[in-house]
Amino acid sequence: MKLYRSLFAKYRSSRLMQLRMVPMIDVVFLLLVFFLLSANFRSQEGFLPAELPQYLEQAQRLEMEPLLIYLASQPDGSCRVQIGSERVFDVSSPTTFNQDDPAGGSVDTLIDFQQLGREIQTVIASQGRTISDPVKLVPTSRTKWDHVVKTYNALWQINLRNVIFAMVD
Amino acid sequence: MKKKSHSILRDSQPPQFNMTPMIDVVFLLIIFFMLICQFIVQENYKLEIPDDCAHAIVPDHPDEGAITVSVYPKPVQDDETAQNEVLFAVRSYRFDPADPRYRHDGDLLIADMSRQITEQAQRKSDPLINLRADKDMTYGNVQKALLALARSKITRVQLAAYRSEQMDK
Repeated sequence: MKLYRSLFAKYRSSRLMQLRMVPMIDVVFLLLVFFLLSANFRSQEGFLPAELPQYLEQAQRLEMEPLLIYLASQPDGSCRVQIGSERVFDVSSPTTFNQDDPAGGSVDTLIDFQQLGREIQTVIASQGRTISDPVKLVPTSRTKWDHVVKTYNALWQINLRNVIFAMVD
Repeated sequence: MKKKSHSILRDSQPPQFNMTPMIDVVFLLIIFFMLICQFIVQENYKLEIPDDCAHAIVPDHPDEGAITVSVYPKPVQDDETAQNEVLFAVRSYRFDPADPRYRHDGDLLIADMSRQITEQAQRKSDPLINLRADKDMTYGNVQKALLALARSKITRVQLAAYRSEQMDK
C-alpha cells in the first residue's frame, strides 16, 4: 500500500501527457489553404430535359409533318430564325439586343429569345397545330450551340415538349 | 548510487503522444487519395455552357450516376495556332477528332464514343446523360455527340444550361 501511494505521488508530480495541438492546427490550415486554391468551383448548373428518338435502322414515319424551325447564326452574334416557310426573325440575346441594328432582307423584326417563343406560338396557332404536335429544330452545321439551346428553351417556355433535333450534313 | 536513482526517475516519465509520424501518415493518405480521385476532377472540363435559359431545371438532388458527355474547345497551347478545334469526353474518357485514327474516318469517332457510352450505360437500368457542350461550339460538332447517344440507344438526355445570365465570365 505504501509502495502504491509513493508511485501515485510520483506520477502526479510528473508531467501529464499532453496533446500538442499547435503543429496539428498548422497542418490543417495548410491543407485548408491548399484545397481552397486547388479546388475548381463550378456554379450550380441547370438542365433542360430532352428526349432523343430511338435509333432505328429504318426511319420511322411521323404521323404529322413537324413544324420546321431553321436556325442560322449570324456574324454579328444574332441568330436568324425561320419558322416554317412563313416568318423570319433576327433573334438576339438581351445583352446584345440593339434596336438600331438594321434588319436586312426579308427579315421581319429584331427580337429576343423570349419573344421568339411567343412568335412560334402564334405560327402554331395560325397553322391549326397544337403544342403536342412535333417541332423540328433545323440548325446549320455552323449554328452556335448557344442559339440552339436558347431556342429549345423558348419552346419550353410555351410548353412545347415534342422537339426533334435535325441531323445536318 | 545517486546517479543511478536520477536515471530511474528520468526513465519513469509518462509517455508522450508524438503527433509527427501521425501527420506524416495523414499527408501520405491525402496525397494518395488526391491522385486516385483525379478522374472526378477530369470530368470537370473547362467550358461555358449556354446561359439565360429560364426554364432550365436545377435539380435538388443531382443524379450522381448520370453520365456526363462533354463537348468543349481544345485548349490552345502556346506553340499551337490551331483554333476552333473540339474535344469530346464521355466521363473522363477523351476523344480527339485530330487523332490520326479519326482524321480520315469521322464515323469511327462516333462509333468509339457510342461504345464508351454504351459501356457506361450498361451499369445503370435507366441511364441519364448530361450533355455539357460549350456555348460557342457549332451544332455540327455537338451533333456528333448526339449521334453517338442515339446509337447507344440513349433517350434520356439533359442539356446543361444556366438559368440566368452568367456574370462571372
